[in-house]
Amino acid sequence: MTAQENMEVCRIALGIQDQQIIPDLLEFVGLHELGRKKTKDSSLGMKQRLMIAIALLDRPELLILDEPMNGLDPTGIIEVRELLLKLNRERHLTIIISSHILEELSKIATHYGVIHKGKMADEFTAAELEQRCRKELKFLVSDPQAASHLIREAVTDHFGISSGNEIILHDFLDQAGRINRLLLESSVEVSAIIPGEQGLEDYFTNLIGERTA
Amino acid sequence: MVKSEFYKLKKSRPFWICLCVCIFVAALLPFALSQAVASGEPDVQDLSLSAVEITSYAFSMPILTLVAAVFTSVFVSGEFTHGTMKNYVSKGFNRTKLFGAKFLACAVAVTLMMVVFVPVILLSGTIFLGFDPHGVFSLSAFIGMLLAVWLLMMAYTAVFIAIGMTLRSNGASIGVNICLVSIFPTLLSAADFIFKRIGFQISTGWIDTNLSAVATLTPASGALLTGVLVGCVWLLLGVIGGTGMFRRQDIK
Repeated sequence: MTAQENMEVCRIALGIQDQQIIPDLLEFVGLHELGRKKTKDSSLGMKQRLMIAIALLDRPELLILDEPMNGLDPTGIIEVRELLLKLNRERHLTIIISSHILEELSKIATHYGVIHKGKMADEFTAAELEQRCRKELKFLVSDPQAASHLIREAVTDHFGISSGNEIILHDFLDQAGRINRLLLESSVEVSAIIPGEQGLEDYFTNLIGERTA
Repeated sequence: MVKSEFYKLKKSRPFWICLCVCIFVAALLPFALSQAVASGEPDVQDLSLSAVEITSYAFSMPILTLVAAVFTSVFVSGEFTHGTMKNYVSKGFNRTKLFGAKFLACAVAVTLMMVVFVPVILLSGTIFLGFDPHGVFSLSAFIGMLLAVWLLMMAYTAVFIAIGMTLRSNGASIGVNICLVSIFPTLLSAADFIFKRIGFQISTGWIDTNLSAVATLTPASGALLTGVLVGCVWLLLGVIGGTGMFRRQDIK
């Protein structure tokens, strides 16, 4: 059957009277030009979009998707991702996605829940995740007080000081050379400049590892 | 849900192909037999051939049952192969109602196959052999035969659907259902020899045996009643058993 016929079957089964909903939804998900092409001859990305269109037939407020990106080629992943963002933006639909492709999730998710062995291991927002995973630059200095004063005056006041002699910058990472020169000229010894980053996968692995331990 | 199943049936290519096969076989069979008679084939010389009699012979052959087996297997198992059954179940449709709707659609499909088969074979038989040159036709007996055959075909359909819902694979369903029609009756006949000494005929309880027994204008005494009883039992077993299996199994 074609995409339209597949949707027609579900429309009839759901008892939806409005027949115009099918062409509208097909256009929304970008499948309106398939015509008489059979669904079995469509790409996996198209099939996924059709499944989403079918799920939208009875105008849900919540969409739950189980591994929607699995098996898709990069083009298919982009298509599905953009569709999900469009659904959220234009139809204000809440979407819960179950997936282990963290890189893709990081491009669309606003809230995360990590489930490990059937239990919720952690919950956080995208902003919190960015905090936990972002790049940083550590300056090991002889006088952290003086160094922090200098950096605050000349560069930024968005930095942290660790319990050791570390100044940790999260912004202006490309200013490492200038900051180093500034500190040296002010007689603050810099014993090391260490770049760091915790990727999403590392964060997830560490989180699960902590739960297992 | 029933409407959507009938919509699927309308759009089902296997259904239209099976319908065409029924028409083709119904048209060809009388012609082939007439040619066999004309050429002096010894196997057919003793057969009483007319349009009416060929119709009853055709029901005792596994023509319609094989077509019904193949169609039902594809129509039912295809839903699992393509993932559409998972889609329906995940939308919260009641599984018993799903099975019921599927059974209704298949029952209508098989009935339609019978509905096209009978007139075509009668027409073809009349052209090549004459409608009833031997004067054996009785409308009530003919209708009784058709109704009994129809009930047994519905019983077969229920069993085919139950197998399709359980195996969930086109190839496996077609294979098992074809074996059920072609090989299983032979095994039952062999088993009859074993149980003959204790006076028990196990094959009496199977659909195919009763199909052969009722597919005649002059059935043996009690054959129609036995056929109806066996048909009802297997119809219920197929529907109840198939529903039970479908409700319990996880759909991936």
